[in-house]
Amino acid sequence: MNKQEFMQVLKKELEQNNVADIDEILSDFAEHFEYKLEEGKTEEDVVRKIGNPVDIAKDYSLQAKSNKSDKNPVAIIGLIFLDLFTFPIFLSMWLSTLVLGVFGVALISLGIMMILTLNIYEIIPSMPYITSLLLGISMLGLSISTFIGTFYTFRYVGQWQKAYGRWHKNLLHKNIYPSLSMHPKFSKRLSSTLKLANMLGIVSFVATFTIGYIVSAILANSFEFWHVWEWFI
Amino acid sequence: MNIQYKKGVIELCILSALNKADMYGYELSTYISKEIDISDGTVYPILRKLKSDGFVTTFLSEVSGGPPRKYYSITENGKQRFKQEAKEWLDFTKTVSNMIGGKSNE
Repeated sequence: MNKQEFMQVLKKELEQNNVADIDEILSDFAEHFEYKLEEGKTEEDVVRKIGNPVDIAKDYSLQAKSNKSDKNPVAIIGLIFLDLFTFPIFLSMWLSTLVLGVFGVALISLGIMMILTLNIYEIIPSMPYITSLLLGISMLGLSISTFIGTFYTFRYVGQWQKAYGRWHKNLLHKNIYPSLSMHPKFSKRLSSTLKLANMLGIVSFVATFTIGYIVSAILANSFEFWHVWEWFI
Repeated sequence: MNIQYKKGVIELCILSALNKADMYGYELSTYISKEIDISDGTVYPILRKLKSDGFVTTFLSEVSGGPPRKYYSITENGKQRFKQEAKEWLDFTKTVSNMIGGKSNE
């Protein structure tokens, strides 16, 4: 049996035994393989020494069962009341995420319309093209950061909900499963890419917005160029 | 030796190792299987159980040029548990060895 076969059998067995956090367990074993292979062992050697995946899966499911105990009625009533509070909180967090995402879509649409001077429904007031171009780019920059913010918010709210669900489950069944972290996991590459993109977004927003303002103020010969171009009449 | 017999003891050995220093999963696995004849994979379910019971916690630590390592660290509860289990084990083995060996000489 090689590594892939071992992992497949282990995954299947864990699923059949209804073990929680299968991904985490599998990554522990993947890590084990990585270290052993680095030492120069062959996959077959490692598999032979690691033990029977069926037995390993059984170990995981046995310990979950041995921890199971009677449900606590006080905990159930308490949890029902708590859920009445937490449900709207989670709902509002999800809706805020949605709002942030929609804001990002609005920004990117506005940016494209300004750059291409597509004045649909006449929502963009009159301005010289250079102002339109610079402010359009600044909107695109801000939309990048908004989308990244939306992504993080989405992942965090999701993780909090999962962690809450796990805590909930553990209260009912007396700590069967390890509690979950409040922080979602991001791969190093993803989080550094997002950080860089976010920085570029903010810098391009601030830079083009500032230049756009200065250029417009000079063209209109007024610091409040929007009055000169009669935007709000 | 009987496999179930060993598993009970391994929990104690893991707590003892972690009582001295934080270790990552693979390190614990090699440490235990070097001393006790047992499959390498046996420690992982036990580590998870210790984590569910609140005797150990995990944290990720960055390693230069590799994926982050999952370290295990003993908690206050774990230290208490270790003290108590170690004492029980030592008392128990003393009694057993007296029964099966020591006293028969008298």
